[in-house]
Amino acid sequence: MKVLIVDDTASVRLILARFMEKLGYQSVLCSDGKEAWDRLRREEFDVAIVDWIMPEMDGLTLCREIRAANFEHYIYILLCTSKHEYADLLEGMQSGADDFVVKPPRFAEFAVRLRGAERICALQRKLREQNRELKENNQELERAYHDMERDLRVAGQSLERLLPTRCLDREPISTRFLFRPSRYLGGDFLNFFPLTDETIALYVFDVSGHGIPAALKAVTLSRMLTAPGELLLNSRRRPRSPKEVARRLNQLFLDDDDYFTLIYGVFHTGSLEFQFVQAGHPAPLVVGSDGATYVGNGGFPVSLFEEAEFEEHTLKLNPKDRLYLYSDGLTELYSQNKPYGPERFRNQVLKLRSGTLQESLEAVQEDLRAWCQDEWMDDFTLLGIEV
Amino acid sequence: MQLSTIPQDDKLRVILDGPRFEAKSATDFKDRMLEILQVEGKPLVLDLSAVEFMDSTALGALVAVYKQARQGLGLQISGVHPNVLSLFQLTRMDKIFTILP
Repeated sequence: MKVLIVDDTASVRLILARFMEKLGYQSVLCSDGKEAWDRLRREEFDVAIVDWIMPEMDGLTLCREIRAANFEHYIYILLCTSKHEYADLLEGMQSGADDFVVKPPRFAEFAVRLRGAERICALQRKLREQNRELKENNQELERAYHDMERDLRVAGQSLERLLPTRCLDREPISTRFLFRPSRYLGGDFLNFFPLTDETIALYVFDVSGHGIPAALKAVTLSRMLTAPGELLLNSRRRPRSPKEVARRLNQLFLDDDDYFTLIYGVFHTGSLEFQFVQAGHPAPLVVGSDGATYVGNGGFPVSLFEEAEFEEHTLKLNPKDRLYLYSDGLTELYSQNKPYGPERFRNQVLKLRSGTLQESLEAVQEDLRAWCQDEWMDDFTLLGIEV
Repeated sequence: MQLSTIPQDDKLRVILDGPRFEAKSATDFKDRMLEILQVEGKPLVLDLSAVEFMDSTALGALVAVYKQARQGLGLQISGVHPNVLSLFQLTRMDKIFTILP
């Protein structure tokens, strides 16, 4: 234990130094408060034995300075005084002293008081050590968290790179879309592409759960659904029926913990029919000359139940009709405890019937922003199709 | 997320607090429910009357618990809010779960 002795009387300093030597403590001597204060700021001491009345800076001021400095290590202060009235002790305590010794110094008393100080200092050291360990652990956690955030961001970016790079334009349908990924990564995704000479495949999906597993699954799924391979085409290179595609995906992903909802459809360019499966995904919205209606009545999500059966719907579209596929992030955007909801979405889309497809998507986005009053907007996907 | 349990006849009623049952409490819910399933040798009734909104991740957790329970003494669901019911209907879970009035 390292002790600083502050006393303006040389003989007292010497006596105290000898006491410390006998007790096995290392000591440093100062003759006034100011000198002690300079020393304390440069060097680490466990205990300061401080005389009350001194020139330059007195003992109480020194106590207050030490406490106000809020050093990282604790300094145990033993105030040394010839005064011993109760009111004085109180003042000393308030200034930050831990204990008192009465002058003239007696060895037995110092020995007892300093053993007490030693116990406090040992506890203090232990506490500091533990704090340091906690801090280190915390930093490690923080690093891990940052790494994870970065991984999520990268995963999100790789998913975004898989989005369609150009929209379809009168071939014979037009497509436009909005994609707003989640900060923690969404498993939302969409795509459209010619499947055969007479068909166009369109899909939106939403992987439940968050984080890396959801991201990886979304990437895998988007790859599988975008290549016109075995999953989408049969051996004669004809499009498989959407419910067959859903059934196959259900078997492929069955083991996983999480699931996904999906609308996968095949648009037949000759008959203008849209044949689709609605696997637990919100119902498509069709806008025709006679208004806007939701089509489909739900269905099992993919990969939840082995026994799930998937239903298929066929929608006959007319020229100028529009079809909207979207994720629940849109209809379930909450503001003041209320969801944006399918009704408001429907009305918004109807209102913009006369504008272009792109304008209708932008108007929905504007309305969503107004709905949540520019607060944080959740992730959502919106795909518009016009015949 | 808070789960409280009350014995009810030969079953155990598990009450989930609300009003939102979402991704952030899904893992916790699943772990707690699986623990309850293991410890209590009783069929469960999950009381959702405080839950006004459930998201897709929470639904996934509920299905995982349901799958586990159906291999044992079973799980019924009660107090289903209209919003939650539409999610069950959209995903056909209304056909899978036993929903009490």
